[in-house]
Amino acid sequence: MESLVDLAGGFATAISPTNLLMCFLGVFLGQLVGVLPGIGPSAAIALLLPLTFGADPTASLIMFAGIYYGAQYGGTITSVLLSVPGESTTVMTSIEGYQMAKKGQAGTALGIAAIGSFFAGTVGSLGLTLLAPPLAEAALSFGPPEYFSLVVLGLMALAAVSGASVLKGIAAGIAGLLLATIGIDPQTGVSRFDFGAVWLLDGIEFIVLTVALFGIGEVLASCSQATEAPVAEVKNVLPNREQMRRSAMPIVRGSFVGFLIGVLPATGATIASFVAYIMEKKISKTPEKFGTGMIEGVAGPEASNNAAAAGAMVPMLALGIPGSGTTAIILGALIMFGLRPGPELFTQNSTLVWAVIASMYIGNVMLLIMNLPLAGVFAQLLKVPYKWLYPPIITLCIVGVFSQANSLEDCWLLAGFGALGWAMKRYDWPAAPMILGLVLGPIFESSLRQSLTMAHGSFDIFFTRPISVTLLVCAVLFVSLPVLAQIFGKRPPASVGECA
Amino acid sequence: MKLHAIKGELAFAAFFAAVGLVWIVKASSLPFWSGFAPDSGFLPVIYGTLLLLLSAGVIGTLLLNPPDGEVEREPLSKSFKLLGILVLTVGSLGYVGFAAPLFLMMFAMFAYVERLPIVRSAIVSAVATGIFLLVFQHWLKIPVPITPWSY
Repeated sequence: MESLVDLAGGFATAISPTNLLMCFLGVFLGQLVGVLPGIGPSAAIALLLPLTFGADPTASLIMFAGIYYGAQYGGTITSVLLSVPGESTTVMTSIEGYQMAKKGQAGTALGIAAIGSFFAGTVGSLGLTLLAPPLAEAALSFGPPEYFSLVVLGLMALAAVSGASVLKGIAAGIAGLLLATIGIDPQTGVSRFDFGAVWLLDGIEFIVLTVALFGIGEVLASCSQATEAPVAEVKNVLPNREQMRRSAMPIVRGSFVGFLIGVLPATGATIASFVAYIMEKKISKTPEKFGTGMIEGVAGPEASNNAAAAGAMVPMLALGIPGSGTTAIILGALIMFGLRPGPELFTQNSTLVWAVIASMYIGNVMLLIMNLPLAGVFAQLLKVPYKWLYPPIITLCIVGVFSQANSLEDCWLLAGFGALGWAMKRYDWPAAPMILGLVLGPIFESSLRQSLTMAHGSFDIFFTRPISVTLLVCAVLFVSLPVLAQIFGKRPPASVGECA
Repeated sequence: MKLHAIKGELAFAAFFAAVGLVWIVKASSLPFWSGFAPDSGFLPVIYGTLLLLLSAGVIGTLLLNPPDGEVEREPLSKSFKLLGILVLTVGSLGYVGFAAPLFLMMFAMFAYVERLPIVRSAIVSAVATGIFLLVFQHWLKIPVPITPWSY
């Protein structure tokens, strides 16, 4: 009940003209990056970070959240019309959606995807409203050892499912932690790894690394892939009664399953859509028809990936553990705005948190309106060749990175880390764990020091406190399960793409 | 033959291993422990060691289980051209300000890398440069040095 009162307060903040505009901008940009090739929600948020530096955190986070869940809608358009998933989360949609498009039912596929996404997004937001506050309240009793274990869990979970190899994921996370040690040690005042350069004493900025890896790295990796393809015509977006009847239960099932999977740290919307598709195929009376354009195969996964996007916000807001690569960047943005992610967010910045949650309800309505009548208009964007897009993206990266500290050295770091991001993408090293490592590095180090000081230098403190040891066991499970699955030849589906 | 196919991947993993090694060496000159808690050198040594071991693990996995056949990857030439143009642009920012290098960078990418029509490339580059500088300089009030005399 208290959550609903807080949510009402959130709505009061979210419906201010500025926040409504930012919400619209967020979902519109999310829809746009979902449609446009070579740029995903992570890159879009990374590119916009410099523009929001010094801006109102509530409005900025409303926009970032809008980009995140808006991209789930946009990615569907390319999946259905081109069979090229705009996001890894819409891979399953492309199987049935493209077959429907080939039968002249592209509009119906997009329509049911929009309706399912709206329902699931609303269910997910409701789940977030009800689940996040008690989780955060329970986590308020966390001390430094629990925070330390929480960071270990967050890093391990994201590293384990971010790429094709667990080893590479963890190594990327460690590399991020390593980068976080550059500069002056805040506890002792000792300068570390500055290599004689005064400008490195401030350390590596989150914005610089994020824009480099997700902006420049993404462009360098995808500049050769830009291809032009014929786009199917979109008409009759509203499904008929029979199609609605067939889609109703897959949407409901996908919403609940997607939300539950999204809540688990680092599982993300990609796995959720896989599970929903497989579930629909198993339940179906005609599983042999899957792959030929079954509307259930569009409705279920689409609902699932949108519910998972809302679910991934639960651990991010309540515990400070990102549920996906994109929420890892939003987590970094929270720190950039001077907020401490974790359970205290609900008590110390409740206005912001509830405004973001409320904006998700509003954003879903905006997306439904945008997608039903305007699906055809967004489909036209597929005709914009990527070669006209990426040079301005690189320019935005340079000016944006320079603007956050007026530093030309940051532009050099941008070029260097951009090349690194390209190589990481090329050789399938996930970038999100590296960002998370950089963001959580200082919290990790300070909580380790505080914990050991409390325990007079004994590491037993991490294994004798029940919550801490539970979190560490979960971290071990996250790493060992994919390895075991790999050994026994049952790799989880996350390897298809970096979790969004 | 198989080793040839994965040499880039091996070199990249070796790069991460080398970074780990640098961290171990540099951190060994820092204090490790103070009172009950770790000092400035403790975690960097741990991170460096872990990165070294994990990268060695990646190298070992690649050598033990090399991919069957040729690994399909995107051609490098276009990305290298873009990276070269980016480095030249960043290098010139400190001397001539932002306006000219950003315009020339976009123009080079459109006209030279992508072989797009020259006039259209010049117009799009000029408009995009103008928009970015307008947004950052005037709307966001960020003192972006537009010309060499702006520093």
